[in-house]
Amino acid sequence: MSNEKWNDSKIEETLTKLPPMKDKQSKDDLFQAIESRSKKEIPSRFSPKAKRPWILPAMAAAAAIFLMVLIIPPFFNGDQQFSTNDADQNSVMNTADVEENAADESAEPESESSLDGSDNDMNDGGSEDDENTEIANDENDEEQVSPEPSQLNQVIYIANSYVLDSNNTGDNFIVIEKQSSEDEQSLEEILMTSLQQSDPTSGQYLSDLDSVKTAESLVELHFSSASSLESLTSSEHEQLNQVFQEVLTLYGFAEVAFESGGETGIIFGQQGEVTSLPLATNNRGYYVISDEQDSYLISARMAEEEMASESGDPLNYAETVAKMAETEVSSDWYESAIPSFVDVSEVRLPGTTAEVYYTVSENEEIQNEEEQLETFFHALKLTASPFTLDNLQIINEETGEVVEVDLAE
Amino acid sequence: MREEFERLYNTYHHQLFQYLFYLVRSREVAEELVQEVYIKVLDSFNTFEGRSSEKTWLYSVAKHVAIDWIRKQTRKKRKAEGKEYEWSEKEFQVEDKNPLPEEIVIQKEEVQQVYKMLEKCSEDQQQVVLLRYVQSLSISETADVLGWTESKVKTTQHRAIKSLKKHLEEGTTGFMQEEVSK
Repeated sequence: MSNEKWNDSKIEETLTKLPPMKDKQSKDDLFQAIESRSKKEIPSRFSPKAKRPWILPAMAAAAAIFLMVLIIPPFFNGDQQFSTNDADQNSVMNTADVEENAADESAEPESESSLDGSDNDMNDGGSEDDENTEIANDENDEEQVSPEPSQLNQVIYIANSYVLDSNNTGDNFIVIEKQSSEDEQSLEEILMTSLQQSDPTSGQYLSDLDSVKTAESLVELHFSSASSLESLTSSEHEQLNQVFQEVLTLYGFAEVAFESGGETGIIFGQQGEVTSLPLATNNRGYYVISDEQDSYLISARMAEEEMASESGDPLNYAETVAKMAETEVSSDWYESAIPSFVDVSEVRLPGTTAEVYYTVSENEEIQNEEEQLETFFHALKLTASPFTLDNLQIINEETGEVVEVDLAE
Repeated sequence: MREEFERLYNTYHHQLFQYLFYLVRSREVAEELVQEVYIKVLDSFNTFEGRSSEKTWLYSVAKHVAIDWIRKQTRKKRKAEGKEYEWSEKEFQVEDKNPLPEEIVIQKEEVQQVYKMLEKCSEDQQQVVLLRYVQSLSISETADVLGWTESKVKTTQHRAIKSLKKHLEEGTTGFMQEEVSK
């Protein structure tokens, strides 16, 4: 074993010495194998799978249940997204979801195991807080839960392409912009708007998106034609994939499936036929990019921030918020989403709730305080999305004001 | 079809196979995947618009084929383990429990170490390292294959070397500790 220390040039030199690997198949054997596989597997460029006989009845049942879901909520009072007393209503929504999923056999039962996964994840940071849970709950009794419905639950997230010009390299990043939604929309409608307004393609190919369906952690995009996404350039394909990764995970999905012309799959640019794509559920945190007019959120994944602890384990929610707070701006193009006048004093994880305690410094002259706080709240909410948390409480320790976000909706 | 295949094979086959091999770390799998690459390429050759070079287009198709395979393996592994969610950024790191390939075994120890530690780098880092150092693609060609900006290629390359250095140093330390304890 060489004790000589590794340095960059030695590593680079060694990499170039990795030996060539030669294919042992002969040219003729290879061609024959290609011909035979080609005949067996792909009679044409795109061979949609046969329609399953149960699909129509299942879709009809799902549609009926969807109508019920639309009709039932007005019979209940209060804002279902924000109230702390909406357990009944949520249970109605959840029941409907369960029925819908039961009707739709195509939905894989992923939630149970995903919950298991998240429980483990949350326990990493939450176990030490068992004692604190009761104290926190006692304190909560005295806290004033903000009576006004928060804007946090009524926004549509749009992915934008952000070109970094500061070093004249033209780096392109997907950033998230929040847009308020005036009408109450279903999740499917929100997703449709969100994706179509995030469309990075030159031909606006997402306008071919006919409908969106959701089933637990799976989101299905139904396009009008198998060739809707066929003409993507290499960079459009990459960007659209990033839009799916960045936007759909915000709504808690782990997989996106495609349907075109009523059949499974779509031609996704040069990638060819694709039936589904896994979504990166492992983002850890959000940061802010501000220009003269607006501010955007950029995921830690996109900004290539550290998302794991020194031991290599992914950060839990509390660790992620701590990381967001302590981020020294290594790069001058994005900054912490936690404003300089905010001090996050503690993050507790009792059960499936995250409680973020903060104080606001009174010594600083603060401009755009409300806007900055809103961005901070959004960043905390989006940061919570990969974890299977049910609730997020953002608590001002001094005033007792609580912003409560229902993450399980 | 045969004529087109012959031309592509004579021009690019060695590079494509090597690229696939280092991505999936298995000769058998690389042999299978290279067939899939040709099927895709020959099937869509007529619709290739020439917005990128033929070479980078082929690499790009090979990249997708390899990544699809790697992710399928990861999903299978997760299902076998009863996990649907992967909570770590280690999807690309399907642990290679196979013995080192014979071509690597006969190399110097440094080369073997680099080959082993490369697997610990992230998906993006591995891609850039393979395209830049093993395939000798330019920054511009690498950016074209990966659909990135040149700047992102440079940054990722820099981070890849840093990461590789860290893993190599840890590997060396671990080995020396084992030696001392013996």
